[in-house]
Amino acid sequence: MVFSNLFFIYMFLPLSLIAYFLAKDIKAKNIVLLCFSLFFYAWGEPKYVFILIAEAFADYVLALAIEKNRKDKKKAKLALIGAVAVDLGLLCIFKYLTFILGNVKNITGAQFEVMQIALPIGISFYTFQLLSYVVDVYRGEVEAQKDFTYVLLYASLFHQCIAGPIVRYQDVCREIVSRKTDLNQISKGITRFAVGLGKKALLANVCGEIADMVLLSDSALAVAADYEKNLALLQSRPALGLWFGVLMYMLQIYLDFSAYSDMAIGMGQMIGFHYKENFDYPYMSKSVGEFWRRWHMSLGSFFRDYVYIPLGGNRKGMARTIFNMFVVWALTGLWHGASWNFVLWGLYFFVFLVLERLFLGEKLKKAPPAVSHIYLLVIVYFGWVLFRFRNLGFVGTVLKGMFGLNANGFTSFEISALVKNNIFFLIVAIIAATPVVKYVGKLLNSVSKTNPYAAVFNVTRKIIVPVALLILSTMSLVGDSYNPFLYFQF
Amino acid sequence: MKKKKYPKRFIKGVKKYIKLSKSLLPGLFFLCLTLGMLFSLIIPLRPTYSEFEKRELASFPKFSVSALVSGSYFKDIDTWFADTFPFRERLISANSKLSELRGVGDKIYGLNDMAVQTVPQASSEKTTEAESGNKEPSETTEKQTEPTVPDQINDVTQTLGGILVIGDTGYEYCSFHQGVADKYVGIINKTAQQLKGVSNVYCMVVPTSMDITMSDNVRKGINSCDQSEVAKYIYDSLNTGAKSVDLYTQLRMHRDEYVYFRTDHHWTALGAYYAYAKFCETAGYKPMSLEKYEKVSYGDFLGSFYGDTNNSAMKKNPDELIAYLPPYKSSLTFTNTQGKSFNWELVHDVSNYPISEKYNSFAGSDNPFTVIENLSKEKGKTCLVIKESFGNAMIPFLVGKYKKVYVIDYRYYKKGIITFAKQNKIDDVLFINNASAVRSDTLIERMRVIDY
Repeated sequence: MVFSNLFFIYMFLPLSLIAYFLAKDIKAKNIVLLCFSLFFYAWGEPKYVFILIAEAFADYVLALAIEKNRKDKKKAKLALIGAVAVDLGLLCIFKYLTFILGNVKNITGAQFEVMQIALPIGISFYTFQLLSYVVDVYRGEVEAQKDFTYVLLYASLFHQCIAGPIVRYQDVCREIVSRKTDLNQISKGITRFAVGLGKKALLANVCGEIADMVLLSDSALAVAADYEKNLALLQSRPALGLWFGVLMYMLQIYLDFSAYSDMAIGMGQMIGFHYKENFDYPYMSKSVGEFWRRWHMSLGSFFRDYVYIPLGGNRKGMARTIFNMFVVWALTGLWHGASWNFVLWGLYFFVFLVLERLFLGEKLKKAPPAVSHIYLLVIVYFGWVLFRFRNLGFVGTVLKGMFGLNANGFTSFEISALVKNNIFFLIVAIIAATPVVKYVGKLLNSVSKTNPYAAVFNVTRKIIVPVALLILSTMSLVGDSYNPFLYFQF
Repeated sequence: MKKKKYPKRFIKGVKKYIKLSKSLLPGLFFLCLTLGMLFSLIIPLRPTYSEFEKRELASFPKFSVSALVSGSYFKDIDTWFADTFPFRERLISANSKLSELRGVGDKIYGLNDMAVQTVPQASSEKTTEAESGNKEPSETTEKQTEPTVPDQINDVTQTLGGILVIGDTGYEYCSFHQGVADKYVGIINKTAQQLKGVSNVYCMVVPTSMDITMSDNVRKGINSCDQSEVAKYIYDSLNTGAKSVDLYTQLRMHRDEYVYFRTDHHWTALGAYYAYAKFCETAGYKPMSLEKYEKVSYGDFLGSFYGDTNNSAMKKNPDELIAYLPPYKSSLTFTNTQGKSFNWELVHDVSNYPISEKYNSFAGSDNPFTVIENLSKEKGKTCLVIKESFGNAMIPFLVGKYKKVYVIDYRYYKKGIITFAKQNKIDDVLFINNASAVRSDTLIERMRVIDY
């Protein structure tokens, strides 16, 4: 189940909220949440729900073992290693084994059948959550949880279990056992959820549809037998179409993913959980470093706290720093999918991050904001081309086509029509990727303090906008087959 | 700036409203969710069929342990839930109105799924499929084994490629696939060869509206392959005696008339009449003049272009289904996909049909097998039509020239054509198919398996 799904919105969500608010005390509320969460996960992965439970149980036991052996560092370390081995082992088997064996086969030329293992939904997210829990316990930053249901609830909570944000146990451990909410919080949560839903259903899905039209859909590109046909199609796409398609993809991937975080944060807020922000208008950044501090922040901070700093961070000299960065960015890339293009995508950013650290960062600071901003957008834009196509042959073709090197012409009747058909939409989608709406809201709030008419208007729009977004999103989700969730593959 | 003074009562009212508003949003939002949930549980509110998409909507999945374990059970419930949501059509049409606000200009729905190729010259030495070592047991016609064709109608109903909408008029893109066209030609060549001395074989490639009614200025810029060249390629490849009927030129001559629907990919009965006249000319028959037919209107029609795009300009200005009632009497019996037979009218009054179903007026619409007898004729020739839905509109006119007309919709019919033609002493075999169908491998594959 995904959040932008009518069954979720009009069955799961109201039922879970009714049950939740009917439950008397926090214990009952947590049981309600756990049941609904497990049901939610099992709805998408009836088999793999047991992996989730088993992994949570292993980490629960090992965290307790660490806690018990605080004084015996060796034993504690052993327990930690055990937990890391379980978590990463499961991740490797279910996410990377097919990829690894495929590569082994290609390199060695050995003859064996590579089994296809389906990726359990959300495994990358909940595995990282559980990892952070065990490591934090080991570091003494948080106490081990004595009640297994709480650990399981933390890992499986449907708000963030399958597509993030990667919530740290220490950020929510208090709220798991004791949390409050009020009408104000509920209203805020609803607004946040509705905004996320609108971003997803009204904007991201449309961006995705257009991107797929020009750049071909993932499922079409995945058919190996159609490689030549797809290549010919991409070659024939006029340059403007490719630029437009990649732009739409760039908008889609932000709107889609941040929408999911918005909905997760909003649903948390409705019942008293406060998850950290996951996106901070990343396309407004002025350097690659800044971009990665504002894009999927919970993943970036995970790699910072559990990989980069333990490796020594930037405290062991420039060469070591660069090596540490290399490791982090190769892993960041790989985390996004078991395919070389994702690794290259991570390393692509690594190159710019190193350059920024060496000299470019200083220059960007001194440069006019427009220049550094354009610098960042161009890098990110081409990064998405690499991210989009698992087959590097397609990447090359599209990059060439963008500069008219496929004898593909600048535009065609169809591409011009496509751009014109979506010209207002494009403007809206771009605005949605910037804080403009947030600033307008702030402005309205401050005007409302002195002007009662503005106050009435402001209060009214705060009621109408979320409800309107819900209704419009419903309209667009009925009978619409195009509703992918990009971050499922991660 | 001086602070404006507001009346106290007004301020009080505003404050009250602001206080009240705190519970308004949660109340309203949960009301929406709950109402949505309740409505979605009222099963009779759920539609089961989409008129415009012409398909059965997803049904509630049957429970099985294996479906549960694999996850498909839940996934199918999701699909059912969204696909049959109450007020579906209204919500969809509201959404398409909203989506038309996204921009300006002629609307493009879907880019072509094939790179546009220039149509090559047909080589005259092309071998027929029968000669080129085709694996089909072409000579052993006596042994009629049923080919294993999945009986699924959904995958043979033609899906439209890209659609361009200019104002309130839709046009379908056409692309050319040499391999498929060769297959199609192979079938016709083989049929003509095997029926030499038995029947005349005619091949009609029906152009779609883009190359006929669209203004030349606009058409120039569009990346859709030239259908006159598609027809030429096919006609030039006929090398075993099958005769071609140049519908392209004929329809171009009448392009200013109402020969194609604007909201549907088919031609109108009028367009089909002109094609019939051209066929008669080619075959050496005298066409019956159109005045002898009684022109009737069966009301508004919103066809496949509307179904695919939900375009609001089309909805505002639907097509009109005009039929021509023949002066001759006839009896028609069709056999449907379940094997049941029905008597029907050659031109059926569809005034009361749903607005999307009007094209079903002609010759009992799409059935695997249909027999029509001209009761006003004592004696006469026999004809076999092999067609997809484009052929339907032409059949009522053809009946006037024959004593008996057999119609095979190759998408559903599963027996051999050649044996049939021989057994029933068919004089004329007519292949009537549109240029787009000829590029579809699934469709032509259907035809190939019945051709033995």
